[in-house]
Parts: sequence; structure tokens; C-alpha cells
Amino acid sequence: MKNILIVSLLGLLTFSSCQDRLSDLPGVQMSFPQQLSGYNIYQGNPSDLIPNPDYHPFELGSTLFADFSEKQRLIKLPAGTQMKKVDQGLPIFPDGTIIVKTFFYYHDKSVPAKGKRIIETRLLVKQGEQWNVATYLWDGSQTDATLVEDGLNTTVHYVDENGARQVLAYRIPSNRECVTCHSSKEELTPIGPKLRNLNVTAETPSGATNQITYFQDLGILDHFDPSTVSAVPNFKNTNLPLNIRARAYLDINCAHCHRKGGFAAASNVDLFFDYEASLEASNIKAYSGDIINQLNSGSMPLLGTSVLDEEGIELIKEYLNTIQ
Amino acid sequence: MKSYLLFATLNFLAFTGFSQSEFATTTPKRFSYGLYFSPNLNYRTLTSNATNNLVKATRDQEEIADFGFRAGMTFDYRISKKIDLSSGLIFSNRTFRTRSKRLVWSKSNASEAFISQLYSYVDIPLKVRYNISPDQKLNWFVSGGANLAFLPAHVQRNHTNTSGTWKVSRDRLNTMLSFLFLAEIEAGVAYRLTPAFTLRSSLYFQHALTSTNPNFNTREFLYSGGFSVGLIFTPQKEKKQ
Repeated sequence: MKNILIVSLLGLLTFSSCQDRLSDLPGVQMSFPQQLSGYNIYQGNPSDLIPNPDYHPFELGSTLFADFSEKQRLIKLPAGTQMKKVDQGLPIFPDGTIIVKTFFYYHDKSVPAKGKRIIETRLLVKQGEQWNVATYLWDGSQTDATLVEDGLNTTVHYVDENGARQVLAYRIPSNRECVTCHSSKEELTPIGPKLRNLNVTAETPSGATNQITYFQDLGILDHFDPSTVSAVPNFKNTNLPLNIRARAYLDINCAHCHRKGGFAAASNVDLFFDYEASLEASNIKAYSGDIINQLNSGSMPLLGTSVLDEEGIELIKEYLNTIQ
Repeated sequence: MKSYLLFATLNFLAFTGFSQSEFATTTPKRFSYGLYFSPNLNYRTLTSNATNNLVKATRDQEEIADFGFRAGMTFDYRISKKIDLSSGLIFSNRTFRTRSKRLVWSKSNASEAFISQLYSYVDIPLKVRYNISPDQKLNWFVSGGANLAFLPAHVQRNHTNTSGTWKVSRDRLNTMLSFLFLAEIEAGVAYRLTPAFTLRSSLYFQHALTSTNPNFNTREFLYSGGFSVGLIFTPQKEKKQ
């Protein structure tokens, strides 16, 4: 009986010591407007998702799996400022940069004209040399979105590209969940817009062109030769070698946690999925069994998905078989 | 099933009818051990410190109570004839869900879906029980105390019905749950089958004292109410003459 009392007391002490508040986290140091419309991102009917000219759409070589949702990515820099290249990874973003990611589902993916349901818009705002996160939940009328600090689930249904009906328990993340994946060395950072992931041919107002060159022409990225930056390809491109596709998939889906300074590294998991990491340095071979088990069971990715990415898992399985 | 019931009834009669002589020769030891099972109904309440109440309002509109269960072992220590200390190790499955949502695919075609949130814990209760009629075969009691819930796991289940049959997919969530503390009150009756075995049944209510997500602005507090049954074994010692 004495032992039970001791366990209870220890539990109480442990619990009371982990009452850190959200404001203690990186990523929530500024106050955001209650409505997304406060950022003046869209022109015309907001649900058409047509950005104002100062918000630039961008594409990524490989994209993060997020429960089959469609995504629109935008970036806005303060007038007269530029992103500056450091290496293959994230450029230095000027203070005042806003990165916008909007998640939506077409009612019928094979016929986008039938309309869409916009679920949420996530913002990364750099202020005072520090990134801040916010999530906005779109209302039923799809005219605006409201700031939400805590996560919630919503049922999403749509018809996929094969005509099959799909129903998901979609998770809108809390600030804390955002910070978990976006943290690097206890600082918040973007994940997608690394230079190697921006180095793709993209559809721009002036036609299909190299995205880095396009940004340089716009004056929002400093000048360097795009060929000095590696390019993460689209892992869905089956014309590419298997190892290149698999490493591209792991880079965008896993490397934000599984890299030096990432969330997984902080938990002493020495598995590194950065695109540039050599096979030996990555430890992929040593962990191959665990990787498949974690993906198959849905335990990984840790956050942000509610269904398995079967196409991605097959790709990784195939790749791991070749390196045994 | 019928033969199991018959077997159980015969055993019950045998115990209660033919073991009276033990009353005269043995006295119960202070410790008792038991098996415990309880179907229950669970719900949650939310408090919000967020800059707006949208998450709380949305969830309050959509989420409702759901059935769960508790099962495990109990340990009792008799302090006096009327007072027991009660503890145990109990697996608790606390669930709530969203209202069923109508999914409209086309004008003539609809189906439904809901999401259930399942929180599993291992509970260690610590309660004081007051026995109202300890000398009777039928002993009414009331109890109250605290409950420490630990080893949390959170699973989200997506229930969908798109073709006339329900399908369930599950997703294990990592929402950084902590220990939970709950207050518990209970009232019930114990029926002494033999000096060594007692059947116990009760109604109880658990009130969350701490939230599942203390680091969030919209905090979630779990509540349970249920009906429990248990079989208690009390070792006997020879009565001193």
C-alpha cells in the first residue's frame, strides 16, 4: 500500500513538472490576426485561391504526403528583399517572410471543376528573426478561415482519381504538433522550400521554367547558378532510378525529424534521411527492418497523416530490398 | 452458453448452500484480491484559454459520449470491520466519438461516418470504502478516492459506411498525453457467496482532475460512469478457539 502511495506521489510530481505552456514553445511568439483575411492573401472569391500578386506560388520537387490532400504553396517577401543562398538547403529568408500552405480536397479528383473543400491554411511567418506558426480553419461557407491554436479532427470525403469514394479522419494540427516537425536545434524552420527542392521546372506566368531562375528574375532570390544546387526529383517519376526516387521520398517525408538537430535525433534515433546524406551516413541499411515496420504499422510518420501512403511504402520497401 | 450458465448456477448453489460450516471455523485475513470488469460510458469536457473558442465550440457541437470498459485486478486491505482501503491495477478504455456525419456524394447518394477517440490507460485507484452492513451476506457500501491513470495510448478510429457496411480504420496518435488524476465515487453491494468469495457490484463515477493535454490551450477532461462487477477472494485463517 505504501508503494502505491509513493507511485501516486511520484506521478503527481512528474505531471506537475510538465505543465509547460504553449507560449514557452518556439513558434508562437507573435500574435496572429483572428481571421486569415487579415493577411490579404487572395483576390476575388477566397475559395478560388487566386493569390494577390505579392504572394508567389511555388512548387516542390517532391511533396510531403498529407492524407492525399491537394496543396497550394505561396511565399511573400517584404518589398525589396531577397532570399539568400547558403547551401543546398533552406535559404536565408528576410524578416517579414510569409509562407502559406493551404490544404484542400476536390469533391471529385478526376473532375476538379466539380469544386473543392478547403480545410486549412498553415502560415509560417518570420518576425524578429524567428519563425512563427499559425493554422487557420476554413469555415463552411469557404469565405474565410479562423485562427485555431489546438488540433481537431474533421471527416473529409472525396472521390479519388479512380472514381473510388474515400473517407478520412483528417487531422488539423495544433501549434504544438506543427512545432514538433518544424523544429531544428530548438528553433522553428520551414521544411519544404529548400533550394534543392525548389530547383524544378515549374509552371509560371511566363511558362514552364526553372523555378530558381524565375524567382531570381522576380528579384526575390539572390543570383547564383541553379546548376550549383542539387535537385530533389519527383519521387513519382518512374523513369528515375529507384534509389533516387526513394531518397527523394525519405527526404521530404522523413528528413525534417530524422536529421541532425531534428525531433528524432533528439530522441537518440541516429537515422538521417537528408537527400545529401550518403547511404553509410544515413544508417538506412541498419534500420531497414524498423523502417518498414514503422511505416506499415502507421506509427510513422509520427504526425500529420491518418492513413497509410501505400504507394510510398511500396517504393521504400522496393528500395530497401535492393540495399540488403 | 446454456451449459456454462447451468454450471455457474450449480457452483453458486454449492458454494452458498454447503459451505456454511466454514463460518464457524475461519476468519478473513486483512487482504483481499479480486477480478474487476466494468462497461462504462465516457465523455469529455473542454476548457479553453485560446484566443478564440472555435476549437472548443466545434468539438462541443460534434463530439458525444461513447462506451468503453475497464478490466483488471483489485486489492483490498481491511482496516476495520467497516472500513477498507481499496486499490488495484485496471486497464481502462475511455472513448468518445463524433456524431455520425452524413456524407453526400451526389444528390441521390449519401452515406455516413464518425470518428472515435480511444484513450487507454492503466489505472491505479486508491479508495476508502465504508461498509454499511459488514456482518450481513448482503453488504451495502460507499467508497470514494482518487485514481492515477498512466501508460497512456491514444488511437483514433475512422468509422465509415459507404456501401451498407461499416468499415473501421485506425490511426495511432501521439498527442503527448500525461498522467491523469481522477476522483471517483462509488456505491454498491457485495454479496458473500462463501467466507472466501464475494460478488461485488457497484455504480461509479470518475471525474477528471487533470486534463489529457495540459500543454494545449483547449484542454480536455475525461469523465466516466459505469456499472462494475467483481469477484473477490479473501483468504481465510483458522479462528482462534
